[in-house]
Amino acid sequence: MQTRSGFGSDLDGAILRRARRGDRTALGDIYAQFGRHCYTLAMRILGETAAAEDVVQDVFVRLIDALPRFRGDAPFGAWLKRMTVNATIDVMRRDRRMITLDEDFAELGSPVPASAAEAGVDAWSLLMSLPPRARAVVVLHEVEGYTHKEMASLFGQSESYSKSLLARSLRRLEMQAGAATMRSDEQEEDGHES
Amino acid sequence: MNHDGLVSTAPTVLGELPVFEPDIGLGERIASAQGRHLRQRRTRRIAWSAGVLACSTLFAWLVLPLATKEVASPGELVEVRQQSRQLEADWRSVAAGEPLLDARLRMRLQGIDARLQTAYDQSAGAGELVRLWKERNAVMRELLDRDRGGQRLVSRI
Repeated sequence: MQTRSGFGSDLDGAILRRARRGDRTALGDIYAQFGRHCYTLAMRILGETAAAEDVVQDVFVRLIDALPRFRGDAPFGAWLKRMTVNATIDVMRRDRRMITLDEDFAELGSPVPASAAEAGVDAWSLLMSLPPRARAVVVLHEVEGYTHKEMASLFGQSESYSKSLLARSLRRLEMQAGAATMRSDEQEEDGHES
Repeated sequence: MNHDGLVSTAPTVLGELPVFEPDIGLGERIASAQGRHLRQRRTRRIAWSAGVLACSTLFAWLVLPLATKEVASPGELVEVRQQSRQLEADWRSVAAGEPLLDARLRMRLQGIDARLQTAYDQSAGAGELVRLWKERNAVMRELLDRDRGGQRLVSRI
């Protein structure tokens, strides 16, 4: 799946050293290299421009104090991705976007709304049709490569919860995508008949 | 994708998720926020350093004198005063009533006496008084040695 969000690249050592000293040009270079990836990740989970921008701004300001703690064990991008994910989940908690666990599953178990099926097989619309936490689990696991152990720790839940939520979310996406495809086929047939 | 043994049946449409370009103004807002943060951090560091310096100064002023305060017993004070009286007596017998001529030693003695007087006026501790008396006794010994040397010199002539 070609959905990796571009955090895999490393950062030039000279830029990193200058950024650690608080060099604003170097900090600007880091934003130029990774800002879009952070924004895309936050957008995919939160689905709102303003909230995603807040996350990115928060991450790049916090970065100044966090840089001295970056040991270079993992690529810089992976480290920054973790910061972005944590900041995004913080926003979800703060804005109470995370509904209760029962509500997560109840919402995923309800029939696919006709409006969602009509939206077409558009990846973004499909993703946005999921409840926030389910969306986060899908993006983190399927796109960003998070393990269930990592997600369980992130959400303060068990691994089995994470696995169950992901399975139901993917099933829901498949159903929705299937419904949209059938709808599209029917419309096509209607067009041929008329 | 398969993580943790879970066979994923993710719809392939997830591969078509859009990549979002942030608003051009976001970079400027972040640069501005970073600038503010760096300035605040610098101010905090300066304030912290000033605080540390102030605390160190206060510590040096209040605590160090207590820690380094000379401790002496009253018995020790009595002993150094007795030594002083003995030295005075020895010197009188050696100098045979002649005036003290060495200006340097006389000034040193006057200085120590003034400090002793101040110490007594301020009810200084035994430690400080012992130190001053010892200092005075050392000058007296020097004076005594000098006068004894002079006598020997005279007798040889």
